[in-house]
Amino acid sequence: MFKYTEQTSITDLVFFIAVLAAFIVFFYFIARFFIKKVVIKQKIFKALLERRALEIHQKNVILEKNNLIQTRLISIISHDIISPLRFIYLASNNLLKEGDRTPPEMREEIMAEISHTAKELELLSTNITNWIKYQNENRRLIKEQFDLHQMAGQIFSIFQGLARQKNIVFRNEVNTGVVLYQYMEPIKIVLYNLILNALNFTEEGSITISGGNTKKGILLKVKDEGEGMTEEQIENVMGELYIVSSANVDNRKGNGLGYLIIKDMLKLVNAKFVIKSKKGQGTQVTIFLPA
Amino acid sequence: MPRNIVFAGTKNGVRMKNMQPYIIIADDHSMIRKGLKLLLMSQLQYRNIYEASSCNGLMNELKNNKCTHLILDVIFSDGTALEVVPAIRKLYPDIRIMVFSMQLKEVYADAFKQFDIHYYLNKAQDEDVSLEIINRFLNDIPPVRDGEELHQRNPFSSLAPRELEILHYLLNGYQTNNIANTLNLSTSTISTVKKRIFEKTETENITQLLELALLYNISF
Repeated sequence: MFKYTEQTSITDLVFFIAVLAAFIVFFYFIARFFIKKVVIKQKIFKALLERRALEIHQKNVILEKNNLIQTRLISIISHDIISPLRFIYLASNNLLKEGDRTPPEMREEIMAEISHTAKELELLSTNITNWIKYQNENRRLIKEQFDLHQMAGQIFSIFQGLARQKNIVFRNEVNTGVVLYQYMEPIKIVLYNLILNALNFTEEGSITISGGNTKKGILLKVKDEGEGMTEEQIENVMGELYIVSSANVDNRKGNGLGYLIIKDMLKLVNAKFVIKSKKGQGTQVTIFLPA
Repeated sequence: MPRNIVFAGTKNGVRMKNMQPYIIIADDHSMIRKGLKLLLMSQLQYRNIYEASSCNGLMNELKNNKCTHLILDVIFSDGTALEVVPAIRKLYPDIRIMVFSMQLKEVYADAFKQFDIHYYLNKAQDEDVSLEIINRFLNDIPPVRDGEELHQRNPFSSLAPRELEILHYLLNGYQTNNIANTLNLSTSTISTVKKRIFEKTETENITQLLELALLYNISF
């Protein structure tokens, strides 16, 4: 009996230890499983957090860029809009009061200047409005149907007066019958700015818009015979961190707002663009709009 | 200091009394040049007026025409007046200069005084006051009556000429090495000046500097 109990207690003990070991192993795996799950979860959280941080950082960069642009805009408004307006007022007021005593050549010179400045102010203000209008990224855009040849003609007609003054000929070589289904306004704004740039940097010669359908999309070219750009200037314009450079309407060096707007608008319609230019030999800007 | 200038001016003024001054208007907006020219011709009966639209254009104009008076804007597309004033002073020590700008007097006037320029007219000033100051300038009468000097300061007032020069490029988004290339200075000089600008204006970075500049109407 004693022997028996001893035997049983030994087998019992062995059995007990075996069960215990099995439990330990079992719990070990269970624990490992859960820990692994937690670790994976942690990793996911970490990744999410990093992504959020990156997003916030990118948003910050954009905000800061917009901030810079806004500051620049205020500076353009005060330097290139307010002070010319003030002198339009001073000069015209003076002509009204002292008109009879002002020599006719002088009067004519001032009138021409006032008319010219008023036009430039109109163009600049239009552009500032364009830019501000499309700053809201969440803005809903609607595609429209339009004829590219007609659009080129419309834009040329805006600048006809300025072109005539400088002996510049406009050529609309866009294939007729190219009907696009696209965001019309951004494309119009891009063409507007490209023509404005071409005019500002061309003394005489021609400015041509050409384009048409290709298999993969629409190709649009704006070509001038002006002073052209250096490689450095092109790089500056294309650069991501491009800030509007020194503001100036009058001596027609541009305030850099143009290319900023062009880039923003092309991004909206998913288009790409390339500038080809040689100093003194004109500039050609090619835009590709994927179908 | 200004008193000496006044005497020197009056002496020359006597010599020139019967002579029409030869005036250059240097400004990057042709509307402003033409408008000012009209005022000078119709209100003050001056006849010999030239125009320049950039720093380079101004230097050429000075070379080609013997001028007595220069009406000078601060910001041009190819630089600031502060960059050309030392050269003008060296090449044409007798020419009299008046600064005519949108920029606040309390920021730039002191810097220009270091180049012996004591006439400073803000473009936003009303017509009658402007004409009076221009008239004083062209007739070599001291710019302000005794006790009329304005003592207004803002965070940018204490900047030295070189600092204002570099401030202009900083606000335009130029990097240190770009500024160094443009102004023909070493990058370490630019860095030092940059640090001083931040210290004096109590700002920490370009963004804050831009905001402050906007607040005090520093155009660039």
